[in-house]
Amino acid sequence: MNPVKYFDSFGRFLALTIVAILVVVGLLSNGIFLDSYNLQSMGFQMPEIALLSVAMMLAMLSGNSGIDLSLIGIANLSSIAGGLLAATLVTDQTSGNFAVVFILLTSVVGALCGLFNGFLIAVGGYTPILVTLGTQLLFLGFAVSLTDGAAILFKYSEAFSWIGNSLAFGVPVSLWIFLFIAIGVGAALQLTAFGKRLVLMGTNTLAARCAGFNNVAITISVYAFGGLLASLAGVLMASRASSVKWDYGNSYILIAILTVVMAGVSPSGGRGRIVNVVLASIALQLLSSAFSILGMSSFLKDFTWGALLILSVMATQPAFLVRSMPSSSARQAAPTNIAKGEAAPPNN
Amino acid sequence: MKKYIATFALLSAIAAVPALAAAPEIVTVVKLTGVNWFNRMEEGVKEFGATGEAVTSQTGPAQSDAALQLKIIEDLIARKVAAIAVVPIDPASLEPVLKRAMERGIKIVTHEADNQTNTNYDVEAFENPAYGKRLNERLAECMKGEGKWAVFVGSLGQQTHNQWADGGIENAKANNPKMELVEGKQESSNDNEKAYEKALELLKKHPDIKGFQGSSSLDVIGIGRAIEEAGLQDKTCVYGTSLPSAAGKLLATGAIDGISFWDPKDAGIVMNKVAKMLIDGKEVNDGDDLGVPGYNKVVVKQGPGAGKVILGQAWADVDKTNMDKYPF
Repeated sequence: MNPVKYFDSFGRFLALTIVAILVVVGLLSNGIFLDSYNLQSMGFQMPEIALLSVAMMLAMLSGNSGIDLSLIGIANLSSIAGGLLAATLVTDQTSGNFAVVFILLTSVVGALCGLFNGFLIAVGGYTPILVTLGTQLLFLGFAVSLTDGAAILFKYSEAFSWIGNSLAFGVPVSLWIFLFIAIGVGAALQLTAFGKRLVLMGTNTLAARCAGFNNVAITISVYAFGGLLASLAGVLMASRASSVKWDYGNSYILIAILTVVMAGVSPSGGRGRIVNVVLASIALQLLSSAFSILGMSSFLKDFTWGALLILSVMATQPAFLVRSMPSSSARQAAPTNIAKGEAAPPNN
Repeated sequence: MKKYIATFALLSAIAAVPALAAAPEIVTVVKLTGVNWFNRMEEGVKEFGATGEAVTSQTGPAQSDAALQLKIIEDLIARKVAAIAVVPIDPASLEPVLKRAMERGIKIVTHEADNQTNTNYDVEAFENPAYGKRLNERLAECMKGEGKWAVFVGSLGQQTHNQWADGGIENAKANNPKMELVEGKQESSNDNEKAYEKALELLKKHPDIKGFQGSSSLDVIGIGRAIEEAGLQDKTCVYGTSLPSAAGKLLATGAIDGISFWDPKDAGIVMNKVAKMLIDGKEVNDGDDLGVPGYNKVVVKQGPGAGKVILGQAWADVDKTNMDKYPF
């Protein structure tokens, strides 16, 4: 397989961006950016938002203007509810049992929240953006009321801390988890009947229904799985902060949306590749850390993310260039269009 | 391609210049960049940097999100700066990352976080409950000791805000039994727009409310705006933490009756000074003079962890009669 052809235009742009950032910032920081400690540090930081981005991508893939704005609400509610329940079931918070029960309960709560979203969208027939905007507030509100808004601290537990703060073969455990999930989701999308149905449903919901797909079941599964991924992000955040709180990561949703858009996932459904989401997550993480390493303002970071998004649009959609840049051929083409009556003002 | 290589070579040459400086690097991480309070703190950070004792800079998240602040600190650990001075959004969430920083030999100074376990020194401008009590005493005096009042905090997780609010609530309970606290602590998310909305809701629900105590530097701004729009300047009392530059206009119209604050610039200087002392292997002892007004005779107490808490006496009570003395 030709590795260049494996990547689509988004993938190539992102891969180039990653290399460019590594080289430029590596040089600007005298190599600090590329030393193993910083690479690992970035590896620790990436998986939370990357997991949310995968969930976001799946929601968008499912079509029907799919989006999940409630992911961070799910992440925080599930880790809070899971943590509180686990604390009542297992008294010794430093034990491995506590960590296992915590993770299991958190996943269950996350999946249930996602199931609730999916049910409202698929069975209720409500628009995903409205449903998840509502449930985001619902989940966060519930999380606040469970905790009175304060952070809940857990006793330091070797086992629980391991997930978010340890290395396995030189790579953060959380990054392994994310990579396995990314590969799993990628394989499921390309190789399984469910994955193919999901993409086809996203492309054309009506056609999918006529072809006998069970759209309701597919949609519910997608959002429930998204909830599960969000709760995993919640577990990672809890492990890294050794505490849970309703507003951790409240800025993550927009970053997750930025990630999937930059990865070329179509907001109208049916198109999106997991490899691009992984690359976009890496690119944004590199940029984000680059600013801290070089000691530059966080506002500049937002600016650069925006600039990168616009660059990505320009680099991946050549039509945009042709239409917006008055090259000679485009100028000649313009009168023809008007002659055809396209968007011509009456007095022309 | 040659052009690119030349550009990279040039860029790396530029980057290599600051690395020659020998002074240790101290980075101050604030809760939120681009707001008056922390802009003023940055003046202090720069002032200390100008002494040449250390290379200082200030950074922080563009949105108030504890998870983002954590990531910035992780990056600074990777950069291996000599010391980090941090004003935590949520001290609990930073415990593991600050522990890791200290394990990597980085000195930690915190501010507004006297419950932080993993820190070398926590710098507080004053004892928090006493400050909240002082705000409430001024409020009570204005309210003549009776009527409904409400208290605002940036968020329920913000340690200092809640200590101030609790100090105020206790003062009202103990000394002014006729003051009636309505609703629980109001969360403004450190956002004057939210404080404004919450104040409007309170005014609607309790038309006879007489007093407001704010905690975040933006609380009284939002509350004052709501009071002014409702035309209640003369019927209500609004006291809280803020800066004259932000609250001046509303102080002049009487929508805000009084503010208290500590100078974030001085706090910035003190944090960096303490960080430099840590790098040099020096200690801060009870009664020391740190050479900054309000920190001339500090109280040093044992913190919850191995670190210590440094307490100053650095607050200022300001109303419209003396606000011109504080030009920031």
